[in-house]
Amino acid sequence: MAVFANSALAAKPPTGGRFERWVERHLRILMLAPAVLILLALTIFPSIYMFYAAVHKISPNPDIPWEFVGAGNFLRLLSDQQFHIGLWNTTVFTIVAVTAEFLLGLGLALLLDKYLRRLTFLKTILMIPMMLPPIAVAITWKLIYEPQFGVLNEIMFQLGLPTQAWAGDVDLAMFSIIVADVWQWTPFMFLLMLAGLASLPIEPYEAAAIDGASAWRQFWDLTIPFLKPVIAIALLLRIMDAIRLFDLVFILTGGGPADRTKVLSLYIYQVAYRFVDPGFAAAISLFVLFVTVAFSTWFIKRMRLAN
Amino acid sequence: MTKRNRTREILVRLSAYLAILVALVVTLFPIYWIAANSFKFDIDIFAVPPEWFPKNPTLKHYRAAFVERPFLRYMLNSLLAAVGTTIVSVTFGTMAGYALARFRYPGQWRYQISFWILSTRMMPPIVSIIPLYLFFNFFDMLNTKSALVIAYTAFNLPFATWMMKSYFQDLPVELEEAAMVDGDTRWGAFLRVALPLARPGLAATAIFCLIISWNEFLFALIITLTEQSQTLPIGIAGRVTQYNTYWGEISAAGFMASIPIVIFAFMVQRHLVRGLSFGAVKG
Amino acid sequence: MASVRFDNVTKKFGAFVAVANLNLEVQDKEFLVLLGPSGCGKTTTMRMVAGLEETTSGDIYIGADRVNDVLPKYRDVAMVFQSYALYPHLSVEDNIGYPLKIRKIPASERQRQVAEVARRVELETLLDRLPKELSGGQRQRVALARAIIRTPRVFLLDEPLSNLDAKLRVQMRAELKHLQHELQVTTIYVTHDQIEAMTLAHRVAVMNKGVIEQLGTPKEIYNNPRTLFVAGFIGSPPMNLIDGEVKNGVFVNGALKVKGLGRANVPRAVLGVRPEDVHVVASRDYGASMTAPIYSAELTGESTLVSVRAGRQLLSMRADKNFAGQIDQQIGVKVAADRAFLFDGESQNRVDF
Repeated sequence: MAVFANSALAAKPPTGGRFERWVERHLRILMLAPAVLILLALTIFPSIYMFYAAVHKISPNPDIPWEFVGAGNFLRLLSDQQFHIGLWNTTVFTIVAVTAEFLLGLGLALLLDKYLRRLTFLKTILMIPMMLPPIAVAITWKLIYEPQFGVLNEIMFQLGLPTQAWAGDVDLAMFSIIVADVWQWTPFMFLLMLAGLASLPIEPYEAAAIDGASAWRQFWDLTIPFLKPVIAIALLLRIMDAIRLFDLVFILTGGGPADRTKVLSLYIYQVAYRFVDPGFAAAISLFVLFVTVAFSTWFIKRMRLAN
Repeated sequence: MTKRNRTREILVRLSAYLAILVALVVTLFPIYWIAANSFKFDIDIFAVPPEWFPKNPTLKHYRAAFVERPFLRYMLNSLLAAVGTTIVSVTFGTMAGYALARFRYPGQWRYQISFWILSTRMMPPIVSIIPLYLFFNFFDMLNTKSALVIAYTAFNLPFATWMMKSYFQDLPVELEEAAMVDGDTRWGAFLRVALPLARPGLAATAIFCLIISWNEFLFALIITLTEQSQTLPIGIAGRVTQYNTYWGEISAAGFMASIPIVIFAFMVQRHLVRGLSFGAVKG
Repeated sequence: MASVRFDNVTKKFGAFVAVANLNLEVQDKEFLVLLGPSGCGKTTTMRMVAGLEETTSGDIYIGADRVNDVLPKYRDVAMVFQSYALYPHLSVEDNIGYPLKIRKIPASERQRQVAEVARRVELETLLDRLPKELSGGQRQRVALARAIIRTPRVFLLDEPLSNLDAKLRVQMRAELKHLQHELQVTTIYVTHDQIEAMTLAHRVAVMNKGVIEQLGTPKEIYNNPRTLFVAGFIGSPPMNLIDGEVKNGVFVNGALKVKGLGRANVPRAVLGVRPEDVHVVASRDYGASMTAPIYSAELTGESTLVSVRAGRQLLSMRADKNFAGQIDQQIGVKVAADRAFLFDGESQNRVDF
């Protein structure tokens, strides 16, 4: 054990200061804490506050104290017709718009992946709409839909079809909103699907081709299952976004005509700031929050998307 | 038999090209149209049938918006709010992303915290806007750019955290471990090894935060009241009134608002898919 | 220069026990190889020395210093990673000089030392390159150079050769052995490759499921395996491990009868015998342990590997390279009982006879 004697004689190497050691030991907390605290402040606080607001009647006059109404605002959800309209409109919009975006995006991605794989600049051009400020998209489509001098009616006229009021028409307003949204967000689906397609392995397709599977069979038996995780993520994100639709409606229709495009976000905005009833607005918000959190949690667990 | 197949193949190919061509036209025309109209005199904007190409181009509306009306100011406000948000979100998001990518936490905590952070981003903004409004009102912060930065951080910070987490997860952990054995602290390894290697991801994340903040509408609509803090989207919306829509002006402003975004978008193309999916799809 | 000592060290990840109650002393200047299959805890053991993992319980000493609470940077160890972990954004020169840079050694002195180390590992012409511009062998040398530039108290090598192709691996193995001899630095080397372990080590610690099954010189480990696991892990081709029953010193498995195992009695026994200790004899040889048809005969170059069925298992033996037997041809098989080992099938331990 001469070895031991030797190293004991050697000077004890430095082991660092206490502060350094403390920082290193707690680094996993120190690095995470700021973000977590900020987000706690910005989400938990509002949620609690909102719950508090939701059980009160809040007068626009700041001098009048809040009046506790218990479940009153929540019970109003059952009877408030406008809320039901908003819920219906948001649901219709979400289902139709997201479905259309998904199908168009997937179709385009399949075409581009199969026939024009090397032309990456096409991808770059096709992605532009989704990056644009929603306000710019909204005014662009407002200009296109303009009943008197809009381009769309000119095209209808040239095709010999009756011109329409589009966003101003009771039956076409929601359709118009959906078209504008589809224009902006199909690229999102398209890009994600294209990324999914690009990462498909080749061997299973070769094996399937040798086994004699048709292109159609390969699509259903290989492409769709392989793409499933990407599809799930894309759908989830788009659905979450569609539920919060606000800008387009605010500019294009303002919720009209005849409440045909009054979506939940817009209704909450109106209740809070036009009818000045923050208590009820908070109750609707909590409802939306509950539905979205429940849906996304269920969806993520279901699709096993975590990590 | 072969010949029929050949013909079919060509037909399929042609219709595929046609479909993509249609998609290109549909994608580009509205953008062209807003740009074209921003260079037309009012009378040409209202022309029936529409003037497909501005025969009589003018910068009148740009002048009106950016010289006579405070659109330059709106733009500056947008920029300040976006830059402020980006600095806060990327700084803390990078640290949190690194922590979640690298460190072990007891039990399921890492998973739970990651998931919770993501879920805050899933929260519809209309939901948190009421309490935030009351909060800013209470602290007399309504109509300030700081309020915008705080509100925008609420949805940019989770985004930055998840993006950076995914970029750090792509880096081999041995590099930082080697640095530690070679004589660095974990924090030093993060600063000197992980961060430089994640620089492309960091830049992309920052640009995404800029884009998201620049484009934001709802929070700004509720928090800002005057040109003191109003952002570009709010300025544009303000020129769409019940009585009159200032088409030329909003087209000019809308087009100007879009240009930096499109440039940014080109810069982050390679990261776009990852950005859109919170790092879930690597693209 | 220092020894490394593990004192009752345990490491758990959640409920999973990676290393259980480890006691081990690596002598000063020793080349110790931790050998075992993946997941046996060998890498975790090494990472605990580096400080990249904390111990769950127990103490680790480097020299006389207990290092449990010492940050990696102060442990004065150097590590070569399986993936080399070269900093992709730094040139070869900066990679090698990184440990010195962190220690704030002036640039000129740094340059001199880098040049010297680079010469030693024959990298002097490549100093300006980035890691991605190097071949696998060159990257390996950069990783080595970065480790030896500051003569640490302990070298830790984590499967450093596993990413090289077979030919280069043999060459680097020799270089590593020479380098360690020259530098005289205590070295812990992790590998799952038993040939690397045999050729490099002063002593080998064979690990399995978080415990050291046997610690000894390569010769001891090879000639005198203490457990069934060690017997099966060491040697290529691997040792025959045939299940059976031992009564009065006679091992029986179906047609296979091996006499001369002392007076041992083991109801569930495993007979271990290396292929070179099983011989092909004439099928009518009275001394044969069994007679059986050839299952397969594979020429490996220096010899022929012949196997026959023994119950449900295969018994293989090394025969002359000119062995001409065909599949299904009857041969006699003789197991050299004095070279065979007996293991208890229950406890997995050696049974002496």
